[in-house]
This record gives sequence, C-alpha cells and structure tokens, in this order.
Amino acid sequence: MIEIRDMTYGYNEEKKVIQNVSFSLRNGEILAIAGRNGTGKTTITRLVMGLLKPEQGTVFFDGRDVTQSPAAERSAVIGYVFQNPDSQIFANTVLEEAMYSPLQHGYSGKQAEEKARKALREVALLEFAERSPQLLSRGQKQRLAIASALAAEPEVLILDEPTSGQDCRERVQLLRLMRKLNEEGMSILLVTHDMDILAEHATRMLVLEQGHIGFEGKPAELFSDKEKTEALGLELPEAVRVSAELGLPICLTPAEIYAKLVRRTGTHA
Amino acid sequence: MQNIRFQEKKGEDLRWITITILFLAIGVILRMVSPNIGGISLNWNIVMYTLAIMLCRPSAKQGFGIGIVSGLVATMSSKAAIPYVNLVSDPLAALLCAMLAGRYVCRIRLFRINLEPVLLVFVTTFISGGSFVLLTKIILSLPMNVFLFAMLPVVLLVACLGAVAGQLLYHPADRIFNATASNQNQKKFSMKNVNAVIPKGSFTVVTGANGEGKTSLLLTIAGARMDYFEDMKDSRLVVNGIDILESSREILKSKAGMVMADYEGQLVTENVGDEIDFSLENAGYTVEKIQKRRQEVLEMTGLAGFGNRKIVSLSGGQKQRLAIAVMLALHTDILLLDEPVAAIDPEGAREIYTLLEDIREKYGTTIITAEHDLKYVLPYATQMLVLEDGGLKIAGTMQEGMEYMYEHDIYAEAIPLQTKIYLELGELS
Repeated sequence: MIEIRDMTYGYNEEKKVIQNVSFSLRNGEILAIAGRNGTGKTTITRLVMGLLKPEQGTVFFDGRDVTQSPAAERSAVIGYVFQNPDSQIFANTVLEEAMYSPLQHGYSGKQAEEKARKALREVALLEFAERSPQLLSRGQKQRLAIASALAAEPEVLILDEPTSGQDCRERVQLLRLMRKLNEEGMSILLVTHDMDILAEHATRMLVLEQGHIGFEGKPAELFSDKEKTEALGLELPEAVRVSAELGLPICLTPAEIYAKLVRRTGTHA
Repeated sequence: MQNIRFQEKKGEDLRWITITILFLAIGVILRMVSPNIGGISLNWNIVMYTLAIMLCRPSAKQGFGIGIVSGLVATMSSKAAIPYVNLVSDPLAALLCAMLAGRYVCRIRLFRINLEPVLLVFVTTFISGGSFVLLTKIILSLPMNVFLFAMLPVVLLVACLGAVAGQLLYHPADRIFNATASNQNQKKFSMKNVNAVIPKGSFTVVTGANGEGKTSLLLTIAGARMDYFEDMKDSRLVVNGIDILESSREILKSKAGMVMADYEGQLVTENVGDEIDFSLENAGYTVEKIQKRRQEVLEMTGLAGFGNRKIVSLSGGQKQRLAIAVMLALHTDILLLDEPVAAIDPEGAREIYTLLEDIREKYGTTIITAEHDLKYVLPYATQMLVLEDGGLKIAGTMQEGMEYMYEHDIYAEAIPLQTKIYLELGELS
C-alpha cells in the first residue's frame, strides 16, 4: 500500500530525527508507531502525508513514487488526523468542515455534501451537522476531524495520538470507530504511546528509537520480552502485566484475560 | 472545601431591567385608563412590578431598585395627599416581594393551580398600601378610626383586586417572557454541593468524564475566579485557614500553583533558566535567592544542566517538568496539575508521578491532580474525588473510590484493568 524506503529527515543540520528508516503499511492493517516522546513518530506521519519533504528517501503508493507530489494531492488517498483537532478545524459548521476536502478535490457542492453527510453518519455526528464545530466536545471534535478525512474517501487513515485529551468513554467510542473503519477495509497508521490500545488493536507495530526502527513486528512478540519493551522506553500493556500476575499465558486484551479466567474457574468447578 | 457550586452565566444581566421597565410602563398606562369607582381603583403599578419580579426573580437589591423606580413613578402620578410616601412604601414592598419570590416561598399549589401570583400580589400590594396609609395617618395625624375603618379596608380591597388581576396575567406573561428561559425558575448548576476535606500533604486525584468539572474545580482551588460562572456566594473553600473565595489574588498566588493541561501555554520565556527566574522575579525575590531556588528546583525535577537549553527543544515530558519546577520554585503549599501526563510517553509519565511524590515527601506539598488514566497515579495517590452529573459522587481512599465507581458504574471505564479484574474476581469468590 504505502512503502517508505530509506527515509532521512532532520529539523536542523546536526541532528537527524529520522535516519534511513524503511517500512511499509500493508493493505487492511493497523500499523502502530510507538516510541518515546521526540523520537520522530509524528515526523514520520508528516513525511508519509507529504507535509514534510524528506532529505533523502522515497515514498511509494501502490508502487508509484509520490515523493515529489504535494500533500493536497496525496490527501485523495490518505486522510490525516492531527493530534490536536483544534489545529485542523476552521469552518463555521460541522457540515462545511466535512465538505471542505471533497470540494478541494473538485467535487460539486452537491456531491461534496453527500460525501460529507455520509462521513458524518459514519462517525455519528450527523445530528450536529448545522452546529458550530467549536461547540463540540473534544471527543466529538476528534471524530469530526476523522469525518473530514473520510469525506475524501481515502484508502489510508493516519491517526496521530487520536485518544489524547479524551476521557475514557470518548476513547472507547473512538477506538470502536477505528476498528469499524479498519474492518471495512481502511488501512490505518496509528501513532500512540498507549500500550493498551496498541496491544488490543494493532496488527503490527514499529518502535522508533533515536531515529531508527528499534522493533518491527507483532505486539505479542515485543510484549513477551519485558526487558526489550522497557529498553525501548515503553511499558507492558496492563493486560500483559495482569495476565502474568494471575499466572495466565500472555494476554493482550482484557477480553482474553476474562476468557481464560472463565475457562480456568470453569475447570476448577 | 465546602459546598462548592458553579452556575453558568446565562447572559441575562439586563433582562430583568428590560422586563421591569416594560411592565412599569404598562402599569402606568393601565392606571391612567382604569376606572376609579368611589375613590377606589386598581393599583396597576404594584401588580406590574410584582409580575416583573416573579418573571425575573431578581436579587433583593435589584428588587429594592425596582421599588424606587416605581415609587418615583407613583409619586409623580399620584393624587394622594402626600405622594412622597410612595418613595418609602414601594421600595419596601418591592424589596419584600423580591425576597419572597427569590425563595419561592409563595409557590403553593391548589388543585394544580399555582397560587404564587395571587399570594404575592396580595402581600406586596398590602405591604405597599398598608405602609402608605400608615405613614399618611401618622404624618397628617388622622384619627385612628379613619385609619382602621376607612383606609385599611380600601387597601385590602385594592390588594384583593390586584391579586385577581395578577393571577390572571401571570401565566400568559410567563409563557411570553419565560418560554425560552424555562430553566429560569430552577437554577441549574454546572457543579453543586461538592464537599470534601483535602488533608495537608496528601496526594489526591480528581477523576470524572470530560465536562464534569475537574478543571473548574482545580482552577477554583487555585484561586482563579472564573467570569463565566455566576455567583459562588454559598460556596466556601478554605485552604490552611484562608478563605480562597474571599481573599485577594496576591495572597493566593503563594498558596497554590497550577500546571494546566496545556502546560506549553504557561511557558513564556525562551530558555529553561529564564522561565524559573521569571516567576521568582515577579514574586519579588532577591537575585541570590532566585539563583539558589533555580538550582534547587532544576535538580529536583531532573533538569539540572538544562538551564541554558531553549524551551522549544525540550520533549513534552521535560516541558511538563519545567512547568512543575516553576511552581515548585514559588514554594506553594498546594500543587495542582490538570492531566499532567496526557501527552507524555509511558516512561515520562512515570517520571512525572515519581517526581510529584518526591516533592510531596520532601516539602510536604499537598498535591491534587485531575486524571482520566488512573494507572499512573494509582501507586501514589492516597485519596480520590469522583465527579459525575455535576456533583461529587465519592471522596475517599483510592480503594474506596474505585470500588464505588465499579459497584455504581460511575465512570468505571477509568478503573485500571488490574484493579477491575481483582474487583471482579472478588465478586466471583
């Protein structure tokens, strides 16, 4: 789907944030990017989106080199949701906000509205269509930002810390939405430092460490190695810790723990 | 902390004035056109300002003001022997009326009819008329018989007529003027009746879904009185014997320091050392003291050697620690933090909470944080407050708090998995 080859980028000459990084986002997967603050997680997503130009390296979409194409062009294929939704919301109504992207891609007003309404329905914000985005809660704003990205009907969605600033309820809703989109075929690049989300939802994960990829693989692979996880500045997901404490085989999600517990208490009975 | 409550302003500061003036004007006109039978006519002025008071429920002070205006109008239009008595009788009656209306004491229902208008207009007219004739009698030294058997019965009769008119007019008027402000009669509070004691040197976490008032509560404790909230006159908040809501900001700034959710927004200078100096300079410390404090807090927060670093080059966790260092330098008794680890990696999050615990141990600082994610704060916090539906659901130890959240399903999403599973296992066994 998307392939990054040999990418290097630095905000200044001396220090490169990203050095010779290569990875690919496969069709239909949720690829999570984790790592300490300041290791370049957001930088990578911006390079993929074309908001930053790499000093070196290439970006491919379905085998096509798009390194030189601007973000506006890429936005037909990739939807980008910023960490802070306030930084991307500007229109007067929720509907106008969601219509912006399809309009930019040359759709007529009517078509754009149709697409916007469909996207708003997807994120359960249709009832707020005529409202000012500034009156939405943080969680709703985040969903609006997602709807704006979805309205252009992209194939890939980049979510940068989508759950930051949200409460636990909003978080659950948002993750459910992300899961649904993924099941409908959307490939997702997810930046997060919430290990619980990562363990439960990521198909694969990348951990950045000083501009390089410190780990690439399945979450279970990394989290079965506590030392390595901590060396990368991460921590074990709660489910992994709790399952170890309870003497269960390694579990990545609370649901797995419950299932195994029921089985165990079942056999005891 | 006692009975903390917030009420959102509804932007109706001038509404009571508008409605009162309109009603007083209508009153004057009606009074001019009403028939006068045997010297008795309906006192429309009083009926109208009583209705206006019932529609707007102004404060006692405002009610008194309404009375003065009405008194002036009556003085100028009255044909009574001593019209100036109106300047005493009307303010007195309107004041009483506003007090009664504000407390809803006359809201009595009979066969599902609200009798407040009839009672309130009667009482107000009687007080106004009664005091009017009483003063007239005293000033003109009229015989007692005239007062008891001629003047008072007229007042009673006028009061009865007014009461009937008031009862008939109130409900249509309420429909017209209060249709959009139907919540006018029941004060709606964003937060109410929050009562808690936060011991000195304790570590407290405030939790609850977004919009339940965590930040407002923290800001209030910090002494920031927010303009978008209306009166907090029933609230009381005492920190170390100082009444926060009554004290000046000068005193408060040495009591509590707050690190906002958007901590970057409170860092204002270019480099780390300057940031700490800035707040100390503002607090009026000497150069020697500033240098000493700066060194001390940078070491404490793990930023020693960062003194000359540009703030923009710091990571999120480092910036957060810098914001904490600034508050620490001021030696405040209380440190308030609004979601201190929201955008910080797991390692950084642990460092921040370890730092807060160190600060608490070393300086005896009272620490209060607002959090969604109880995971990081769990090892350190000794007590918690849970906010939901605009009120405090429980204040207690972490264990008590989480058990309560679990049992009553109050923001149970926030309970860390480990605790949740043990709570569930507890139920199983």
